Parts: sequence; C-alpha cells; structure tokens
Amino acid sequence: MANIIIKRPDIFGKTRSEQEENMRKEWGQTMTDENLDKIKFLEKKAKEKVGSIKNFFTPIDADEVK
Amino acid sequence: MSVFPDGLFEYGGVPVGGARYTSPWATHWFVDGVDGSDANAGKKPNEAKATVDAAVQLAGVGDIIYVRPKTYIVGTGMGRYTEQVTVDLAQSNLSIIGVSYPNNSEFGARLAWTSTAGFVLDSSAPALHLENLHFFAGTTAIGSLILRNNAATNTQRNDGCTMYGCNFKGGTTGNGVVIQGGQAQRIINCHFHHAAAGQLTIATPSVSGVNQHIRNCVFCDNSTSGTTVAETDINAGGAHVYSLLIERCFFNHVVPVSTFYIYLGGTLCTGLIAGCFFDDADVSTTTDINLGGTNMRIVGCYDASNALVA
Repeated sequence: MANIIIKRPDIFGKTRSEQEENMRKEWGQTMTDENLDKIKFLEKKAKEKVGSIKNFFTPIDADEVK
Repeated sequence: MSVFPDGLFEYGGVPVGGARYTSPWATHWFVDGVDGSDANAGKKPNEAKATVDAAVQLAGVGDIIYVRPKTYIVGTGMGRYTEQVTVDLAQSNLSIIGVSYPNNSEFGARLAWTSTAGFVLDSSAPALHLENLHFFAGTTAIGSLILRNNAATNTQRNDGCTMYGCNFKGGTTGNGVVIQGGQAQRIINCHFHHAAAGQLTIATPSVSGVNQHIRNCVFCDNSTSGTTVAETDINAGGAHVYSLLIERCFFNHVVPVSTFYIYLGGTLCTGLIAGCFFDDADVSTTTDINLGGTNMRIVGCYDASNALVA
C-alpha cells in the first residue's frame, strides 16, 4: 500500500491574516474584524504587486488603509 | 506510522514529526499562564509555555510569541504575568502579541504583565514589535519598558521597534516607556498612565532620536506632586530629536507648574506636533510644551480653553 504524503509546512499561517484566523479557532483574537479585513486587503495587494505570499502585516499597517 | 520531518503528514493520520505550527521563516510560540507549563514545547496552543520568558529563551530572529491573558479577578482585574523579561540581539524582529478572548479585542489589552524588580521588559532587540500588552510596573519596578541604545554593546538596538494597542502604567516610582534615542520607532494607539518618573522618554541627553512617530496615544494620571522635567509626558531629555511626529494625541491631565506635557530641550529639534488636545487651560509653548528650537512645528492643537496652542 502506498502512502500519500502531504507537505504542510505553514499550517499556522504564512500571513498575519491566516495566523489570526487560526488563532481565533484556538484562543481568541488579536485584532478587530475591521483590521483583519484591512490586513487581508494589504496581503492581496502585496501578492498582486510583487508576488509576496508570506508576510507579516500588523495593525499599524492596517491603520494606513482608509 | 512512519515518522517524517516537521510539517509532513501521513494521509489519514495525525501530524507527525513535532511542531504543528512551524514555518520556514519564523517559529510561533504560545504562552498560557493558566493552562501552560514551561516543560511544554511551546509550539502549539495546547502545549503552551507558562511564562513569557520561557518562550523568549527559545525564540530566534523574526519569531512570534502569542500570549494568552490570565483569568480575570474581581476587584483586581486581569491576572498578571509577574516576570522580568530581557530580549537581545538574538531575538531581533521578535513580535510579542497579546491575545484577547473572542469578540472583545476592541476593549483594549487584556494581558497584564508586571515584574517585581527592574523594567518589566528590557530590550536590546532591534525591530521588536509589541501588540495588545498591558505593562504594569509594580511599586518595586523601575518601569514598564526600556528599549536600549546607550553603549557600545547595544548601539542602535532599538531601531525600528514598534508598539500598538499597548497600555503602560509606570507606578508610583517608575517610568512608563524609556526609549534611548535611536531611529524609526512607532508608538501607535497606546495608553500611558500613572508614571511618576515620566510617561514616555524618546531620547537621552547623549543619544538623539530620529524619525520617531507617536500617534493616537493617550497620556493621563501623571503625578501631580512633583515639579521636575522628568515627569513630562513625552521627554527627549534635552537631546536633539529629528523628524519627530506627534499627532492626534490626548494629554488628559492638568500639568503641574514647571512640568511639561512635551519637553524636547535640544535646540536643533525638527518635526511636527499636530492635532493634539491638552487638558489644561492656557497651554503655551513656553511653560507647558518645549519645542526645542524653531524647527519643531505645532499646528492644530487645542487646550482646555478651546484655544489654539501656539
């Protein structure tokens, strides 16, 4: 019987928003829902502009999103 | 079941090989002062460390430490982590983040952290990031937080440090936050109160601050008994500070005679104070705010008489 191996090195999250969503399943939250939405927006823009898929935006960055 | 390196799963089985939460560029550490244990590995919420220091001792460059609040105690408030923690170059770019219980992060920091001696957090780690932490300097503590940059061994070790949504209580003898100059720190959405030796120091007489940004902060309940500059809300200690930006801050107390809300002191200071409110009548840039020369501007700031401060 062959084993199927799935590589999942980043399960807690490659980005702050992924980490936040995993944290909410475990303990609670570290930011407001509004800031989470803004950080998702920043991550989307970073991916579009430079292809970055791993980053760590903070609410300081989120505050700059109007 | 076969055992594989971290991050490898066998189909239909459980995660094998250790850390569930490791990633290629940072390790996530978990601290739970109620259910955790320092004997745990600290890499999963259900195997959390019990103390912040235990996680810091294992943390490396760029790591992230999530800290769970302790149990609320009626009449006392949130249970406190009582420990003095030191972070150094080996932990540069470290993030320490307080976790709130679901759906209440809007109410501010829920994680209380104090020590019985020294600064609660003593940092020589560049780019340290703090979030949602409530520092509570006890009566025997020197202060809440120091970001060091004062000797050959830790020159510029506080560059790029940031803090967001943190509370700092200095105590009856302590400081709030002491930043020994350096560059590009960000203090955003923070609350400073009751620091008899000064709320926020941004430079020392021998070390300038450059490109520091203080935004949306509240300063309140400072000592009203003393008359020294050291009790100033924001204090540059007479150093020249450059490109300093203080905006949308609320200074929520009456300033004692001969004490300043903001004291820069150095004659070559540059920067801007904008959109702030000072809760005292007849606030002036002579007796209550020291701009440190003519290249530090103040615009759109009001005092308790609704008069424009100039």
